[in-house]
Order: sequence, then C-alpha cells, then structure tokens
Amino acid sequence: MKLARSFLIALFILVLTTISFAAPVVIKFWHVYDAGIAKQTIDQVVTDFNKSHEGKIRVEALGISFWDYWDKLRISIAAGQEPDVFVNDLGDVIMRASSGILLDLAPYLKKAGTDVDKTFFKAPLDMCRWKGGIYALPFETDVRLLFYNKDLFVKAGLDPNRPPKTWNELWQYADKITKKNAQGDYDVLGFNPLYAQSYFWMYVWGNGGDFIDEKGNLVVNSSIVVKSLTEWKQMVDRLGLDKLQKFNATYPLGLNDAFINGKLGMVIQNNTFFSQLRDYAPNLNYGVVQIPYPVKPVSWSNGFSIEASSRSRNKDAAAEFIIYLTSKTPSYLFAKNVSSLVGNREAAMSPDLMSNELWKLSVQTLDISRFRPFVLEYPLWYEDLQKTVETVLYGKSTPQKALDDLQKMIETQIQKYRLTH
Amino acid sequence: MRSQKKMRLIREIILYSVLTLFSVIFLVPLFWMISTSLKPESQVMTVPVQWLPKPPQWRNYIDAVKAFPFFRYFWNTSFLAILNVVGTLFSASLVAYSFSKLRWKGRNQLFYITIATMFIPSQVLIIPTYLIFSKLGWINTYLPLVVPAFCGGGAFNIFLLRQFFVSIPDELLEAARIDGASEFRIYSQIVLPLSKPVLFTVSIFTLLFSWNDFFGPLLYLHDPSKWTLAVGLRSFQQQYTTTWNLLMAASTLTALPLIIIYFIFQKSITSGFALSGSGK
Repeated sequence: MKLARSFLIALFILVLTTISFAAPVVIKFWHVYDAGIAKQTIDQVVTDFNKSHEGKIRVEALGISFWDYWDKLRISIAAGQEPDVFVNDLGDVIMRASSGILLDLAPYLKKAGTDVDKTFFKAPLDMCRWKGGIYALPFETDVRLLFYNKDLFVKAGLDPNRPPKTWNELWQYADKITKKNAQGDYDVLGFNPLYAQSYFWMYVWGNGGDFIDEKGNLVVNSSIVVKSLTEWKQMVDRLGLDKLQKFNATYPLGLNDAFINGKLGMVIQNNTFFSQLRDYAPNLNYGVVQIPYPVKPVSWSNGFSIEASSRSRNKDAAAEFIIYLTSKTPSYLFAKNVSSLVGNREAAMSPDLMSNELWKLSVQTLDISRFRPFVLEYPLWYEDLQKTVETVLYGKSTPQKALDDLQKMIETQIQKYRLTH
Repeated sequence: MRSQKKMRLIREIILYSVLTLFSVIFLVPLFWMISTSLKPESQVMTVPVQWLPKPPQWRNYIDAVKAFPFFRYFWNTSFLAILNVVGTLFSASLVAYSFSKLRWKGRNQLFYITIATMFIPSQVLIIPTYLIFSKLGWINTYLPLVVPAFCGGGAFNIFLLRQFFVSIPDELLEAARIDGASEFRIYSQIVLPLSKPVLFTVSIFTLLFSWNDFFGPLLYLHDPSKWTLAVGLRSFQQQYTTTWNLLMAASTLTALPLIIIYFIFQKSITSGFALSGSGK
C-alpha cells in the first residue's frame, strides 16, 4: 500500500516536471514595426528564433503603430504589466534604468560571450550604459545628412559635384540658388535653417560647443551657445522669419516636402529620407554629404533600443532573445530589407551594404555623430532650448538674456528634482 | 398684409441661407474624405486643391480592405458596439429610474456624486482602471470594453435618462401601483415605452462612442485579431508616411454603417437630440 502511494507520488512529480519542461517559456515582445517590409522582417526574425528554440522559448510579437505605441507601452509599464521585451527610445534609456524597471543585460552579455564594444557602434551603445550596467541594446539608429538638389546647383551655375563643406560655403551656394517671386516670397530657397531636421543644438555642436560642462552639469548659456544663437538669429533674420514660416507652411513635410518638389536646394534630413525621395520623386537628381559645419563636422543621432523588463518572470529567456535580435544575422536582415541603420556595427559594415554610397556615408557619419546628452534631472531640456530659440527669433529677448533665463529655470528644475528624489 | 408676407419671405431666405452655409461647412470634411478616398496618391495633397479625383480610383477601396483584416475588425467593432448599447440602455435606465421614481435616503446626494464623476478628467483614470482590470485578469479580453456598460453605463447617460423620467407624471406610476404592478413592471412597461426618444438618444451616443473608441481597444487588447476598426485604421499611418487615400477609403467604410443608421432613424434621432438639448 505504502509502496503504491510512493509510486503514485513519484509518477505525479515525473508528469509535472515533464509538463513544465515541455511547455516553452513565453516571451512577450512589443515593437513599432506594424506594417510593410519592417513587419515582415521582424516576423521572420521571431519565427527563426522560435524555430531554433523550439520547446524552450516562444516569442509572441506584437507590432503597434508608431503613433500609438508609446501610450500603450507607457501605461502598461505604469501598471506593472509591460511585456518582457520591448522597443523603446534610445535617447532616454537612463531614465528607465534609474527607475529600476529595466533588466541589466551586462551579465547576460558576458555569459553569451558578446564583446559589446566590438559588436555595437559606440555612440548608440553609450546611451544604454548606466552605472556600469547595460540596460538596453541599440537596435536602430540614424544620422542627419545634407541632401542637395544637383539640378538646382547647375541652374545656379554651381558645380553639382562640389557640394558645400563649411557653413560659409553653404550660405554662398544657397544665396545663388534662392529665387524670389514678384510678391517677394521665396519661390526656390537655397537653404532653410528652420526646415526638416535642422536643429539649433547641431549648430552649437558644429561651432565646437557643448551643453555639458567639465563637471558634467547642463549649461546652456556658455559663451559658445550665446554666440551660436546670435549667429542663428542673424541667418534667420537675413532670410526673414515670416517669409521662412510662410515657406514652411506651404511645404509641409511628406508628399509636399519642399526638397521633394524641387523648391529647396539643400536640406538637412534623416538618412532614411532617401526612401521618401525614391517613392515620391524618383527622378530627382540629388546628392548626399555630411552636414557642412562652422568649426567641426558633426551630426545628430537617435534611434530605438531593445529593452527587457526587470519584472519579467523569464529574465534569462528575455535577455537571450534581445541578444539574438541585436546580433549580426537578424540585424543584417533588418538593415538590408528596411535600409535602416542598425546599431550592430558588424552587421552594418557588411561588404554588400557598404557598397551602397549612402549607406557607407551614414556609417562613416556615425563616427562624428552625437546623441543629445541625457540629463536625468531634466530630460526634456532640449524642448525648452527650442522654445528659447523661438523667443529669440521672434525678437522677444536677446540671446544672452534668453539663455540666462533658461539656465536659471534649468537649475531650479534640477534642484527641485534633487529635493524630491 | 403683403408686407408681412414679404417680411416672412425675407426671414426665410436668410434662415435658409444660414442653414445651407452651415450644412456646407459641416459637409466639407465628409466630402473631402470621400473625394480623397477615390484619388490616386499623387492627387491627395496638390496645390491648388483638387476637389474631385480624376479619374475616380475605385480600386482604393479594394486595396484598403485588403491592407488590414477589415471584415474581422468590422465584426469585432459591431459586436462591441451592440453589447455596449444593450448594456447601457439596460443599466443606465435602471439607475435613472431609481434616481427619479423611487424614494430612498440619500438619493439626491448620490445622484449629484454620480454627476460629479463627469468632472474627473478621463486621463486621470486610465492607470487606476487599467490596474483594476489587470488585477481581475481581464487584459486582452473584451471584458474591460463591455462590462462597464452593464454597470451603470456612464454618468452622462444616467443624467439624460433621469431628466426625462422626472418629466413622466407620477400619477401614471401611482395608478399602476394601485393596480398591483411591481416596480420592475412599472419600469419596463410604463416608463420605458414612454421614453423612446431619450432611449434613442442614449443608444446613438453609446453607439457612436463605442464605434469610434480608439484608446480602450488599443490599451486593453494585445491580440491583433481582437482589434477594432478604429485601431486598424492606424496601420495606414507610419512613422514617416501616411497613405491618405487608402486611409480615407477605409475611414469611409468605417463611417458608412453610422451614416446608414442615421438615415434610417433620422426622425427619432433629431427629436432625441432636441430633447437632450432642451434642458428639461
């Protein structure tokens, strides 16, 4: 009798363990690739992973429109119901890492034998580091480049194979291309500093400036920033703020983009802009170069990170999937199909991708490109900087005073944060 | 006599011109949606504006329906909308009946508290309600989108119904009570049949809200096969590009059932709206 009972218990345990071993661990993965070739590629990567981990891990992927993804993710994180793995903004990984919701991937990367410095581009990877840990991996990144219309160059008597290198050259060329109509409005504009991806902080960097001082503090009123803003205002004033705004309103980005419609000689755009040109203006004769600079060459990057929740019940499996997703083969597939600059350096440097001139230029530009510095105490400082720039452009304040005011506000906000955290 | 007639004519001319002007203003977006839905992509954003597609591209409708699981989402949306209408009509009218025709301690205070819930911004409630539903294990099910309709149906609907029920003479109910009718019978056989206009109004509001609800399904449903049309329409808008013509074709198809319902029940709806705005 006793023997039968022990036998039954042993059998029960055996069945239970078999069931628990047989059922694969399920990893929920949310991303922004909900349509087209990007979705197909991610689906394929997930299917490949599931096949190679059959019986062990099953990834369930969900793609949500880029415009709605952030609300859904944010609310699920706030409610402690986030998926195990998710795509997020590479620009503010530290914010989430410091709040404790992200899993430190460093031990898993070490275990997997991944040499992160060799595998990933430095600038995007640095955005994932916090207090010695690695809290995300860079999946996609980007750079800003100068696209120029070769036909407009020729019309203005410029050599289409000699694009501008410095900011001075840019204005010399632009002035030759610009044409006004009878009403004094711009019919064709050489360059518009307030259009597309042209941002003031890039100009500051180009002037050799920075927003973080030697002590690591956020400083927006240093002499170089003030000088840059003074120059920025002069550039805008020379063209006329109201005329530029009228131009921007006439050519909203997208199908009616001024560059796409041959109304803008040069434009600073994201490296992925070429796909819009291919779809909307297949006959446009254009070239791409690094952004001209006043003092030193620079570009601006951002991108998407892949992160795992520290609250996931299956941390090992989640980390394994992230490491796979950002590894060479899946990254190469994504880069090739979607033409998006991946964070995996080895994948991005594949010879067949590098044979494409624009791709090569984008990869090279990553070396000089920077991310906006992340300030934990005041993450949206750059939005307030933009507002300050506008205040100055509208003539409501001088560069020095406006930036001093902003600095004061920033210091108050940072102090407030330190008191409450 | 003649001048009076003339005055009336002038007044009517002014009235009709103002009304026509307003109807044109309100119809422009609808016209624009339908016109865009028939355009090739190159004609969508042209300057000067191209009002009529040349030639109309009917294929857009086929492409739009094929671009996402339209019929599946249509079914999901209809299913949710019908359940919401049924639930709201039933539960909100019961609550309103209690607030208007039954006498109990604290009734008015509780009514005011119910009304006060309308002043709470919905954004504040998103995370707490999400937490409640997730504790109940209802995430990725239709329950968070349906059950609330059966639990009172919202303060606004209760308010509308209560205001109407108050106007029904108590004598009618007293007579029924003397005849031995139960409260539920009075509610279902006397009060409800007398309240058709307001019930129509509530149905239409609920139908519109549920049909167009985007945020609820987006938050609570993680399985794309459960999504609704409002969520599905988003697949036409990517980070850098939007296929406006297909988006507008799908939007036209999404709005079509509501437009048809409007034409069928036009009379009841307009009388219901007049009633909800009369401040009884």
